Amino acid sequence: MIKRIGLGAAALGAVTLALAGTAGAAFPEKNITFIIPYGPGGGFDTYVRKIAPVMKKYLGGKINVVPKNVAGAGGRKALNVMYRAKPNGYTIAVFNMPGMLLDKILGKKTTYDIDKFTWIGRIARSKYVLVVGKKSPYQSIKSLRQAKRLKYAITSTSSGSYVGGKIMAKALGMNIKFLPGYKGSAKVSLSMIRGDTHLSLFNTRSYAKWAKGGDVKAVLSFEKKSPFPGVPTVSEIGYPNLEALTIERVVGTAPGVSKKVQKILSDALFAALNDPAIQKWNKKTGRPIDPLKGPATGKLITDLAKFFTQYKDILK
Amino acid sequence: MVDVFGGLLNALGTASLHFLEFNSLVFLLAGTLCGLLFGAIPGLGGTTSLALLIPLTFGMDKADAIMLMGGSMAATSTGGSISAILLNTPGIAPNAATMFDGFPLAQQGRAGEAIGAAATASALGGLIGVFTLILVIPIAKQIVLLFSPPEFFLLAVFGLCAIAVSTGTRLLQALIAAIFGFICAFVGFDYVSGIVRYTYGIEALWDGIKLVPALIGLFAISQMIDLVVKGGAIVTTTSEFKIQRISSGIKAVFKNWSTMLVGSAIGTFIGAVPGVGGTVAAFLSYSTQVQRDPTPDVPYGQGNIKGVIAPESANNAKDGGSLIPTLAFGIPGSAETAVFLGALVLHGLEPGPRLLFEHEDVVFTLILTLTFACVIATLIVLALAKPMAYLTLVDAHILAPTVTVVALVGAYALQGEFGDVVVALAFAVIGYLMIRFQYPRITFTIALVLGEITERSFFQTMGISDDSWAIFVTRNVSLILIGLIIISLMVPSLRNWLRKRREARGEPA
Repeated sequence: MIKRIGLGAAALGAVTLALAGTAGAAFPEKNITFIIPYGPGGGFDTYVRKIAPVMKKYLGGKINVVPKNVAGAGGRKALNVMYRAKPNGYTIAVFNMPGMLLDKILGKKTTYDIDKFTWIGRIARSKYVLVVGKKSPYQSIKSLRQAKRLKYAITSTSSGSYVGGKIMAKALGMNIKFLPGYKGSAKVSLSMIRGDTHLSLFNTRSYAKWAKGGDVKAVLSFEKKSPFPGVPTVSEIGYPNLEALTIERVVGTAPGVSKKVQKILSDALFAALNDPAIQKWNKKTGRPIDPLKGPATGKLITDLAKFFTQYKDILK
Repeated sequence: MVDVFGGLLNALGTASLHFLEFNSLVFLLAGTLCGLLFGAIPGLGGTTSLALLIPLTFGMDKADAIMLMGGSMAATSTGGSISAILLNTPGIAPNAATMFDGFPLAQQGRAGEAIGAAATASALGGLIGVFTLILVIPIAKQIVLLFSPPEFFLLAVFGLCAIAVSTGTRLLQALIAAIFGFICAFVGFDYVSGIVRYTYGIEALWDGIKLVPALIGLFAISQMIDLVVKGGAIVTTTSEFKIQRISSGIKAVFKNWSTMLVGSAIGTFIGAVPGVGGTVAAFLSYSTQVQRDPTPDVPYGQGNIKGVIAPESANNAKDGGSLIPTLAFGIPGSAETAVFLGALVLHGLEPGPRLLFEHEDVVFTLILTLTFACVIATLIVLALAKPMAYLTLVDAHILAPTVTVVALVGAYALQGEFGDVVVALAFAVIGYLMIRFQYPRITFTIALVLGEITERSFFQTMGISDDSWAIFVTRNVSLILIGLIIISLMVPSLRNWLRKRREARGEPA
């Protein structure tokens, strides 16, 4: 009897497996939700809304990839939702790295395990540039390093700009007071333009946008070759290891998604990022596109975690 | 300067050519209707409408896309005023202040008048906002830079002063309600400390108690509960039912032109200050009106038409105002402009300081779209006001279930989160208890709306000043705001004292 039930269960299991197999083969059969961990209007939002319809094309064109903003707790709410989602690949999310690794690096308790997500790929890597307001008394990297006390506006202590700012401050010996509560780079810039704060790290592209107005000025580039004439790079002032400070826009899905589905999604994202429509947009707006496939993204995140763990004590 | 204006006029001409094309006008009309509808249905709102329209614009010409989306952006708050007045639920958050007097007017059978006034104030406010925008383009930067966290804090405090004047005769209840509003405002992620607080581990609260679901419950559903318990319809005095009074609503706006002008000015200014938003604009306008008029003919909160005109002119004027920082720095002045800017980026345009110089036609198409859309929206609302006002005569047994379902669907549709529905239901119960035991919902709402910005800007100010309070008196704009706060708190008592003295002199003991 027991044997028979066992056999039955085995048979049932086999049927389920077979069904799952066919279901997997037909992936995707329904719309895919693409979670943006912040409110509408920001950089992550813009990327996802541009890429989603192109990704649809590479997923058979019959289903839609639907962007959804899940804002809350500095992105942690979306991580929670993504972590609990069914591992079927129908919910994917864009992640902000290394900002979203910070809780783990600092050993804070979270309701999700950042290591367990299934990685689909990377959309873009943004590099930093150190920016000062034109009203600030400190207009060069030298004077910033000599300043007694600097003020630096951040969104919250879980933002990438805070992580980068802290590590930079330690490396270059700057005395920085961080002021949280500025929602988004626009408000951070305004605070520098008004002269309320002195400096901030921007991604290169959003600085390029601000620079046109002539109210802020770059003083240090975190790239290998400075994109701004006359602005030194971190290597040039003797700190090449600061080049590792970047913003990675990566895409992941729930833990336990099958390799097969992961590959389908990863290939679709990769193809979408190389699509002429996206490449043209990249050239026109200057937003970087740096496609990476799923497994390589997983490795990137492990490396990032390793790199930032070195600075654990600084970030606390 | 002459050059700049000459160039601007030229671009204005090019842009207006779009408005002669039939196709473009269809897009403008479609956008406006979309905005009205999404504004009127509680919970949907301007950002949802824009987000849904974005994919439709992908194949379109830039100008058509702007007309479709701009039309929607300009019309939402006009649409939202309808549900605020008729159903006591804000279509979108910036209409919340319109409920305070709009709904009592509807209860008195004057829904037509209230809608007429709201629509007219919306159109005029919108136009003033757009004209101000054109006028201040050369000094846009300076205006945006006038406001820093200390000024945000004082603006919020000025808005909070309205709690004092809105208490009526029930001071204790009003203050308890306000404190409860503050408590609710602080729930969720705190940007200053970087932690999630007061959520009891409930994930739905991580982003705070969202305004629209809370207000849907607090006002719309609780009102429906009250209606069912009492029976009848929204109009409580059927004998005085004056639905045809739409024109008197329109006239009321012109009669109270100073209310409309002040409201529009506040809306434009707040719109121009990134990070404050239309809801605060409407509340500030409402509180300013209440404080400017300490001896009203009809008490505020009980159906004073000026209480409708003030917030409605402000929440439409802010659309024009919120383009000021957009053109000066490429910063969105409101949530809707944020989504709108995102859409422009998708079309390959780069919103920012150079937009005005590199794409003048785009800027002027947008300005003209906002101008036409707010007029068209108002005309549509005025034309439909009469049939819509009959809603207030519908019996509770039909109205209550319908409104409750629409309201709950709206709460869900906001972000597709079930937690928001639970929030709406919880606040429905709270709202009903507040009606029952006569705790004013106005003071609660003012504190809920202004609580977060008050706290955050206070901590930012202290960060900037290294914990010195002197920062509030060493800045010109701050000093002016402090002056306004003192005056608004003093004037009512001063007037009372003067009146008492006069009475005492008139009737010697």
